[in-house]
Amino acid sequence: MAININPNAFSPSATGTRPAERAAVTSDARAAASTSSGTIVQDGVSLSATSRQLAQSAIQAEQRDASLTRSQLADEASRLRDQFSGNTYNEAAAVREVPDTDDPALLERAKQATDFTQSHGQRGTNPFANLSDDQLTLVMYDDSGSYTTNERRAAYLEQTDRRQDWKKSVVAAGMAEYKATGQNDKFFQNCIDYYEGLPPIEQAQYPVDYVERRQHWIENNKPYSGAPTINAIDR
Amino acid sequence: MKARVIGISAFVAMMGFASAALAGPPVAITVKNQSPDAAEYYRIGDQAEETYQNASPKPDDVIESFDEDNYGVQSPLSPDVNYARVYYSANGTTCNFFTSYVALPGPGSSTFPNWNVDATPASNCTATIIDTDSLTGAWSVEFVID
Repeated sequence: MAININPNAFSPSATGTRPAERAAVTSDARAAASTSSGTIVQDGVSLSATSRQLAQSAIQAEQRDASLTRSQLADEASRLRDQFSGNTYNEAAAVREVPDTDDPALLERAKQATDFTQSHGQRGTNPFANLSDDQLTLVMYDDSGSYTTNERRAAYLEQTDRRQDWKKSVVAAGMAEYKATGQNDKFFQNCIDYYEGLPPIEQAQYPVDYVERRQHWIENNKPYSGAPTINAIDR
Repeated sequence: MKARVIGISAFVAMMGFASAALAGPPVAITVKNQSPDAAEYYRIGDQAEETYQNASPKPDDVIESFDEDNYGVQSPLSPDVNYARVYYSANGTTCNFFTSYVALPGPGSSTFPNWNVDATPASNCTATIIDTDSLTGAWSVEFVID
């Protein structure tokens, strides 16, 4: 079986995908996922086993997201995250997990993920380091068996690293903005933009009025020039 | 300090989201999990819930061992007040972290800034003020879970 790893075949960028682009990606994915042989060629692009799995994951995610309310999707996200994160992650069981495949590339990918997660990133490389943010989300929240628990954890660790890099920089920029202008308009807009670029299952984990609140603050939080109110607060 | 915390809590109850207009200075929070277990984020009580609603970006539900989280909190209470209360459970301990800013009245109509930080239990949880800006009141804190 010829394997040509091309995990970005369905992603226009490595930093996230807007909803309209995400719909087009899912359409492409549907065509690609319908083939189950080794390497396939679509529009001149050679698709790897990983790409076909991602295509299938995109279809399943679209169906899941369409069939659940936001609240149900949040509960489902919590259930799925418990499988690969925090203290509910069963490390011993995950290490013993072997993917149900004879594809050497997929077997090697699973081994690589276990080596990476067990060494806390100190040994080997994350097999999903080159996936886009949206593709990492697809892997994390797919418990169909396409990916092992440690592969999903590896995707989660990669996503966490990227998100923390962004959070650290956006908070630092927000503090600088406030010190310079007395406002946080750009900071709040950056947070809204980030949220709006997330897949539905990630958005569902935020407060329902996350955007509304920040929009309200942008519109109403202007530099203060009135009298102090501390006495009223301390009473 | 206790009286002031009660004052802030009462003020939270009085001020709704719809009436929010003037925000206090932001606090930048870094939470470091230095325990061998994952730290899970909890919200207990009104102050923790309000902190969650006011946090941007949203705090992560879990901080893996030897990892960290970063977010800012800005409260629409008043231009002279901001606070954050967060709970993290790890390694059999729940850390209760708190930090606040209050512009205290000075001579005439002037004010002077007052920042506080607290962590319990002290044996496993540490809170440190990293940076303050006396001009705007903005400040940075580090919460550490051991």
